[in-house]
Amino acid sequence: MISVENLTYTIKDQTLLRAVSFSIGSGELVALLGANGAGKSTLIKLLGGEKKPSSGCIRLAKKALEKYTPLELAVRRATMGQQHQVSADFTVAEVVMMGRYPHYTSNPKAADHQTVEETMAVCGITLFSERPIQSLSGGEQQRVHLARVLAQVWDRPNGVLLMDEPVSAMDVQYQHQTLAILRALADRGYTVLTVLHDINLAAHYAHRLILMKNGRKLHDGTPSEILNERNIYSVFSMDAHVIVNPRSLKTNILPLGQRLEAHEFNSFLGVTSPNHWVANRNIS
Amino acid sequence: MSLKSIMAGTTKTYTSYVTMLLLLVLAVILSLSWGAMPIPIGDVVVSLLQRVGLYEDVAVDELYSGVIALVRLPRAVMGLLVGASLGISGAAIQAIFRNPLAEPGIIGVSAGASFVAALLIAFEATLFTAFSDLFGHYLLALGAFSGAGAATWLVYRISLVDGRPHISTMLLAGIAINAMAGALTGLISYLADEQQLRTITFWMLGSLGGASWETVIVLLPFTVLTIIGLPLLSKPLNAFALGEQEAHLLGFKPTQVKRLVILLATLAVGASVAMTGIIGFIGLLVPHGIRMLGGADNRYVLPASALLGALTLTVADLLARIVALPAELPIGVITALLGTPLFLYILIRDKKKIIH
Repeated sequence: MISVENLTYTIKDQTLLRAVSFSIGSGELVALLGANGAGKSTLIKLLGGEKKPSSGCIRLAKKALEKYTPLELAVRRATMGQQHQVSADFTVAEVVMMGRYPHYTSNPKAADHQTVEETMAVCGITLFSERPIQSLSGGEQQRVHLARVLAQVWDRPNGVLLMDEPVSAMDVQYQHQTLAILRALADRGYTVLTVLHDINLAAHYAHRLILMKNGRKLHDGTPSEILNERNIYSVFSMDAHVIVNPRSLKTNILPLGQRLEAHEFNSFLGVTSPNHWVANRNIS
Repeated sequence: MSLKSIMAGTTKTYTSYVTMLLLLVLAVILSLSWGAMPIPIGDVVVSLLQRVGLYEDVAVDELYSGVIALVRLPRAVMGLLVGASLGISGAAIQAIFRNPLAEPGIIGVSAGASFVAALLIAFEATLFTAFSDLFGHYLLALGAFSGAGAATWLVYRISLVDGRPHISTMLLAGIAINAMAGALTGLISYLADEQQLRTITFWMLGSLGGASWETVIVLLPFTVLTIIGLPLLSKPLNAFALGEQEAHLLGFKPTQVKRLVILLATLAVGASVAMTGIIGFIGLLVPHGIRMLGGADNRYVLPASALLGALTLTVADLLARIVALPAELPIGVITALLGTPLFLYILIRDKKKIIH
């Protein structure tokens, strides 16, 4: 459904993406993982048509992305960004209805209302529907935007969902519920690409993982194929123990943690100057 | 709390439309009746009905019908057009700036108009005699409109980043151009003589005193274009609340929307300011009042701001004419004196609701 060839993005002499290639088929949930600043959000923005690549090519349903008009894209691709500041006092239901804007001209139809009701229900926000969105907590607001983004392609089983850290503010129940929704939609034909930070969440729900670092794609494969200690260290510079969860039979990683002494990085605490603290920070 | 009630008219929005409409009719009738020469309300109503071909056989004092037809009615219509323009443009500008403190003045409309108006008032007799001969009575209006357009164009040009208007740059450019035009206006005021200074000051406080059917006809196309045009953009303007990028992702063209809003607001507000001078308050606070009454959906906020703007200006003009009879107060003073306490009342009443 989406194919990316040799994608490079450079802005002000900084190369944020270097020759990234992959493709995601219809019915696939792919999680994008990587260190901070690895280029994950940039990739989502390029795929959503928000930014133009410096070189390389993105195809959606075999047609070059730049050949779509914004409206043509909006009816089959929905993007959930990281920023969610609503500037005016819209109610939750009004914000979710904005996801239907590409589908009607002046007045929402019955199907649009039904979509809004269903997405609000599945995101657990029906109770807040008439409240101003600004009065909700961060995680609740994120669920409202999730409902809005889902509403945009709710009736398009060939739709594409591009999610940039969709669960960053949510509690553990809704983190799982969100991923379960995305997985269920993917299983019915949607193409889903989501940036996540929780490797275990990704490993539990995604069909496939893409690991990125410094603008490059380092690893690409199913969780059991690519989640091993060496790959995790190469991306996150962290030691971890990888197991198969005996209950879920999913790959789990157990980070081994770090240990620091305050005087190693704060010269005001203690006698030792803060040098070489990087050397022995990993306990093992 | 049903989904049918969102977006489309809710009971709350219908109530506010109907209330404002009734109050507007009442305010117009009162403003035709009250004044230096009081006219009985019955005569006002009959005279109005006669204009649409009813009650032809009822006699109305010719003096009354003359005052209504030639003085008060054009003034009332002018008040409706200017108030509606200011209200709806303010609402749309706040939406594209995503900032509740924005108003049409922020893109330079009023400051540019003031500068050119002050320039013409002070130097028309000495420097601009050729223009004066050419445009006669309309020179001030035409000059103010050009000043409004030029200042906005300048702000817009400065705000372009890669050919697209960048909103926070526009905000800063607007502040800078406003400061510059304000300084130049101040300089002209300093150079002007007593009488000119008085004229400049009064012009900057606004007045509907110059209204006639000719000015109404000149103003009409600008106002109508904006009052019809801006509500057509209410969907993209709603999406702007999520951010420009999000509006783009929802299939809208943010650059086009911004250009259209700035163009339409400049036309309507520029033309209004040219006819009446600067009338503050309405463009800034009327849209807020409307959002407090019926919510943030621009499908409601835009038309309702036009209605409330028209109502506010009509009432303000009525008061400006009657509180200090036979003198007439500047309308800008009244809009602020009248509107601010009302606005603060709503603000304080709804404070808890806003925070929680």
